[in-house]
Amino acid sequence: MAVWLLTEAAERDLDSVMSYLAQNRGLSCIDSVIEVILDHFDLLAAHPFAFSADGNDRRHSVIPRMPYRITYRYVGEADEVRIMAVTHTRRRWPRHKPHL
Amino acid sequence: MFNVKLHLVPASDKAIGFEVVNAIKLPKLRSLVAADLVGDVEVVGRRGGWVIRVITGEASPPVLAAATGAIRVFTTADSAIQQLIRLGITRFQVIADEYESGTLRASRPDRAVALTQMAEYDAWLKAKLDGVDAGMNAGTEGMLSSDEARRRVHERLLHYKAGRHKG
Repeated sequence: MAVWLLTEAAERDLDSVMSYLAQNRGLSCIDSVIEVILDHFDLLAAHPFAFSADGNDRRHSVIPRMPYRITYRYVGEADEVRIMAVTHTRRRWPRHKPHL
Repeated sequence: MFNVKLHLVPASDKAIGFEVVNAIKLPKLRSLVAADLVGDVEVVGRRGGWVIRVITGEASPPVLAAATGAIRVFTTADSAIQQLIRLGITRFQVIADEYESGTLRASRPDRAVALTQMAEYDAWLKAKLDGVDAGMNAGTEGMLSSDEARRRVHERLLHYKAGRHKG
């Protein structure tokens, strides 16, 4: 089974998710949402090929019943799933230039 | 040639500014063409498009209709001509006396905005992922092991909870 690694960019995404939930959904749901996302990372590590790669060899997975899309790259030599981004599928995207 | 009993359907669409009494659907027109029973055909310009009128000798020549019965309005004369060619009709008249340019469908600025936003989002996401990729390739993008990531995420959770309790 592959292992998953979280990029700093994806960690920032997770922090944005927590910040948004804290401000708009209350604290009670943060734990469960974050646990579902982290468990999904485990699932991706167990089945890295479950989602087809796009032209840039990135894979995208939408968490069932949740509005979050995980973008990851599977590195075969290292048997690693590298989580690149956690984005909201229905988010109003930023009008400003993103910090990359 | 015109002594043919056409099975015409009442036209259900008069929104094109065209007093239509009868309409003919494509399969019927195709069978008439195949039987060489069609006389003249006209491509007639109306408001926002073109219709195909079949001259049958009747007082109210039928106009080509869609399967729903609504008059079929082609956005361009070219598309109407292509339809006629597919039917095997290569000679016809084009009457543009009453043609008015414009669109039949109301504009959808909301869809235009949505499509623009979608394109912006795609560009934003691509730039973000390209940046992460570049960082990984250059070795500048830090990566946390799953255990370390879980620990840090739970730390942040506590931070948010503590912040809310203080507030």
